[in-house]
Amino acid sequence: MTGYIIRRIIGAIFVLLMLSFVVFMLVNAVPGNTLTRLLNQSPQGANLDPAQIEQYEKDLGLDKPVFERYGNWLWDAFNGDLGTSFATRIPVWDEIRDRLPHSLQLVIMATLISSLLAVPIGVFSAIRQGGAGDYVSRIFAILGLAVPNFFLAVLVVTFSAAWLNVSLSTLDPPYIWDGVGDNLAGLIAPALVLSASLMATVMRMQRSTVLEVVNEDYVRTARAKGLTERAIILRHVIRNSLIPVITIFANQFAFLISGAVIVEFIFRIDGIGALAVRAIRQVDFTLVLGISLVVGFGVVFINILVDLSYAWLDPRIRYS
Amino acid sequence: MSERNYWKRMQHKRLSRRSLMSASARAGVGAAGIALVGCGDDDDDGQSAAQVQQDEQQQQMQAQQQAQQAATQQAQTQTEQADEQAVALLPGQLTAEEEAMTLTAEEEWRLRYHWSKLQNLPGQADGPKHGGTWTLAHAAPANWNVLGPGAALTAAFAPMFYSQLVVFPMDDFSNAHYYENEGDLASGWEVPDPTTVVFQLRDGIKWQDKPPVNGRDMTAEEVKIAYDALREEGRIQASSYTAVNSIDYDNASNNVRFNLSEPAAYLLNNMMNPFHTVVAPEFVEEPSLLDLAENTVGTGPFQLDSATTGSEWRGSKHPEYFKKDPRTGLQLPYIDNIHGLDFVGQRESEWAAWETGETDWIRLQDITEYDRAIEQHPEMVVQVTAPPPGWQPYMTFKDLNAEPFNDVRVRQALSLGMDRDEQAAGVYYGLAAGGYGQNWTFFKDDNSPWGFREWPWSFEELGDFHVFNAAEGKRLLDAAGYNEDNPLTFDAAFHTVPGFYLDHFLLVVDQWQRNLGANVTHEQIEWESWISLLFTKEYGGDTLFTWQVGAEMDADGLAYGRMHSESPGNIYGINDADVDEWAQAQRLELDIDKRSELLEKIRVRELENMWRIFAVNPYRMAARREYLFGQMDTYNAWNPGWGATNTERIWKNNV
Repeated sequence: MTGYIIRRIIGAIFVLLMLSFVVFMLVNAVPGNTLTRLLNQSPQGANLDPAQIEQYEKDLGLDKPVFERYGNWLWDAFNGDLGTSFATRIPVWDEIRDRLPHSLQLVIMATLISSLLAVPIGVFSAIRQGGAGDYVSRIFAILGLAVPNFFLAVLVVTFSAAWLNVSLSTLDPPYIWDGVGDNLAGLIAPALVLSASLMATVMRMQRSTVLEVVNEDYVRTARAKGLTERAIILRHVIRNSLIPVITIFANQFAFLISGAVIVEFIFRIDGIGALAVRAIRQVDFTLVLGISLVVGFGVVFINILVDLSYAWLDPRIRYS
Repeated sequence: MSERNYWKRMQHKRLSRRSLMSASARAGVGAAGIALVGCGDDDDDGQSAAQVQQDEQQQQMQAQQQAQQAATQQAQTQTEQADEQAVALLPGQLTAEEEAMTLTAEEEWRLRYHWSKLQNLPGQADGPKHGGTWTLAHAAPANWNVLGPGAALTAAFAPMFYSQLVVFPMDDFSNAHYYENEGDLASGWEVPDPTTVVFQLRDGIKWQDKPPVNGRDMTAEEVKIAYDALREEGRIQASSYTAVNSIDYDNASNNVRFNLSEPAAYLLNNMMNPFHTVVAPEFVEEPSLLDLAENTVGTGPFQLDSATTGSEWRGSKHPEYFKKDPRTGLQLPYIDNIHGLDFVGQRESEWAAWETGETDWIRLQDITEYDRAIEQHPEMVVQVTAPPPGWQPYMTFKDLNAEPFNDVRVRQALSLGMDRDEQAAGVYYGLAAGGYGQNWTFFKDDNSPWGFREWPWSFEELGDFHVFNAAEGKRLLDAAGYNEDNPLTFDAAFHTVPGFYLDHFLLVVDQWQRNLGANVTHEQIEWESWISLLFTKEYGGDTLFTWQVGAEMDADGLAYGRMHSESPGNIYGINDADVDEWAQAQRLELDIDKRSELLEKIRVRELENMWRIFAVNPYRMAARREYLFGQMDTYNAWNPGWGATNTERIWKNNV
C-alpha cells in the first residue's frame, strides 16, 4: 500500500510538471503580455517609446527567453513561491488563498447536493424501473446533462430578478466563518446550478449500477435468507453500487472546477474561477500558472484519495 | 494674445439661452438704430435745414426708442417663451418645431436625450442633498498605480480618490461636448507670459487620513514633486509635459510655477486628464507601492475603503475634503458612499442588478436595451451622448508603404465603397454618424456658447471621400490597375467577440466586396490576441479593423500624437511633411481660432489621403434612476466617474 502511494505521488508530481509546462507554453503563445495588454487598452499607451516599453518588460522579467523564465518560475515554485501577479503585483499565493474558500465551498456544496439528491433518486428510479417516477427522474437527468451550466446560470440570474426581484449576482457572500446565513444565501443558487449536470450524471450512473447489482448472486442470496427489501437495498445494493459512482465524483471534480469558472463569473462569486477568468483576460502569466498548479494539485490529490477509497468500499480490492 | 485664448478661456462664461436671446435683441436694436441713422437726409439748408435736421433726429430717436421698445418687448417675449420651453423640455421630449420636422433616428434620439435637458429634471430645483450611497456597475481595476504603465486605465477611478491642479466640471449643468478648465487643487492660475504658468493653490487642502500621509496638510512642494513624477521619462503622462522645463514651488505663497520651453496650447487640457493626479511624495519615492489598492491615498473627495479586483470596490466621503460646489456653494462631495460592482463580461448579471434596484445607473447598448430598461423603470432618465473621439470604428493599414495601400486611389476607393448610411442603419439602429475627431474644433457656430458646433458632422462635411459613391470608387480602383480581371485582393482582421462592432466589421467587408468587387478575406482573431495587434502589427492580414484612435483631452493627442511622423503614437506610419508642420504649429498656437484652422488643415489632409478609413461611430446611451442627479456622460467620459467633479457632484434626492 505504501509503495502504491509513493508511486502515485511520483506520478502526480510528473503530471503537475507537465501541466505547468504546457500551461506556461500556451500562455506564452498568446501575442503580447500583461504589459502590452495594459498599454493597448489605453490609447495613451501608444505614446510610450519602444525603449521605455522594453524597460518595463525588463522590470517584469519578460525580456528573458521563455525556457529560462519557465526554469526560474519552476525553481521558485519548488521553494514555495508561486511568484507575483503581473497585473496586481500581489503574491500569487495570496490571490489564490483569499479566493480558495469560496471555490472549495462551492464545489463541496455542489458535490453534497448531487450526492444527497442524485443517489437516492437513482436508487429509487432503479427499484421503480419503468414507473412514472423513473421516467420523471430520467427526463430531469437528461435535461441536467443537456443544459450547459452557463446557460442555466444566466436563466437563474435573469428570472430571479424578473420574478422574485432578487439580484443573485450581487449578494456578495462572506466567508462561511464570517456569517453562515449570508454565506449560504449567496452560494446556494450557484451551487445548485453547478450541481445540475453532476446530479444528472450521478443519478443515471447510480440507477444503472443498482440495476446491475440487484441481479447479482449475493442479492439473490440475501433475498433467499429472508432479508427485508429495505435491508437488501441499504446494506448490499447501495454500498456495492457506489464504487462507479464515487469514480464519477472524482472524475467530475475537474469538471466542477472548470464549471465553477463560469458559474462564479456569472454569479460574481469571488473565487478561483473568477480569478482564472481575470488572469486569462489580463494575460497574467504567473497567476494563470499558479491557478493551474493549485487546481491541478487538487484534481490529482482527489483522484489519489478516490483510488484509496476503493479498498475501503470493496475489501476485495488490494493495492500492492 | 487674442481674447479667444487657451489660457484665458477659464474666464469665459457659459452663455445661457436667456443671455443669448438678450444679446440677439440688443444686436437687433443696434442694427435698427444704425439703419435709421443711415436713412437721414443729407441736405444742409441754414436754420430751417438745421431745424429739419433736429426734427429728423428727434424722429429718428423716437423711432429708435420705439424700435428699441419693440425689440426689447420681443426679446422678453422670446426669452419667456424660451424659458417656458426650457423648463418644459425634459429628456425624451422635443419642441413642437422639432416634432414637426422629419428627423433621422440619429437626430431624433440626440435631440430627445440631449445633455442640456438634464438641468430641467424634476427635483433638480430642490437642490443637491447630502448623503446616500451611489451604486454603479463599474469595473474594479487590477492595478491601482496612477504612475504605472496602466495609469490611463485608472482614469475612471483616480479622480474619486486623488486631486489634480486642473479638472473639468461635469454635472447636469455642464456642457457634455465642451470641457471648461476648472481649478481643482488650484484656485486659479496666471500666465505672466506664454511660457510661464503660475498655479495658486487653495488653502486648507488635507490628505486623507490613511498612512503614510495620515491627514496632514498638503504643501506646494508636494504638488511640485507629484508633477515632476508625472513628467518623468517613461511615465504614460509624460508626453503632455514635454514643453515643461521645470516646476518651482513657493510654500509661503502656496503656489507652483510651470516654466515652459515653448507655448503649449494643449497643456491645460491635457492636465485635466483624469489620471494626471497628485500622489504623496512617499509614493513618488516608491511608485510600486501604488500598485495596491490599500495605498490609494490622495486628497480627493472619496477614500478607497476596499477593493477586490474583478469584483467590487467601496469608497466613503473624505471628511476633510477641501472643495465646495461653485454652483451651489455647498460642501462636496454630496454622497456619503460609493460602491462599484464589476460586471465585466456579465451583462445579464448587470441587468439583474439594474432591474432589482441594486444599481442606480446602466449603460444601454442599443435601442432594444433602451426598450428593456424603460419597461422596467419607466421613470428612468436617459442621456444620449456623442462617442469619445478616441473610440470610433475605423480600418487601419498594416503598411502604408506596401502595395496595394501605398496607392492613395485604393484607399480613397475603399472609403467611397463604404455605405456609411447602411452601416448606421444596419448595425446601430440609425444611432450613428460620421466618426472623426468629435472634440475637434472644426466647424464654427456663432450660436454655440463655445464657438464651435457639436458633433455630428455630415458625411459631406468630411470631404469628397467620406460619401458613398461606388461608381467613383470603382473608377479609382480601375485607374490603380484593379478591375474585374485583377480584383483588389487583401485580408482584413478583427476580433471574435459577438456584438455590434463585429457586425460592423463584417458589413464593411461585405460592402467592399459588394460595392467595389474587391476580394476581401476576413480573419477573426481571439480578443486577447487582437487587443495586442494594433500596436505590435503582428497580425498576418493587410488591414485591421479597430476602434482605439487615441482618447485625449485635447485635439493634440489626435493631431500631433497620432499623425506626426516622430510621435511614438503614430502607429499608422503616417509621414507627411505638411502634417508634421501643422501638427507642430498647432501645439504652439494659443489663439483658438488660428489653432482650429491648423487642425482643420490636418483633418482635410488626412481625409483626402485616407491614411485611416473611418466608418460611422455610434452614439452611446445611459440610463439612471430618477432619484440620481449629476451623473453626466460627456463625449470623452462614458465611464461614470471619469473626471473628478462628476463623482463629487452626484447626489440623490431619496436620501
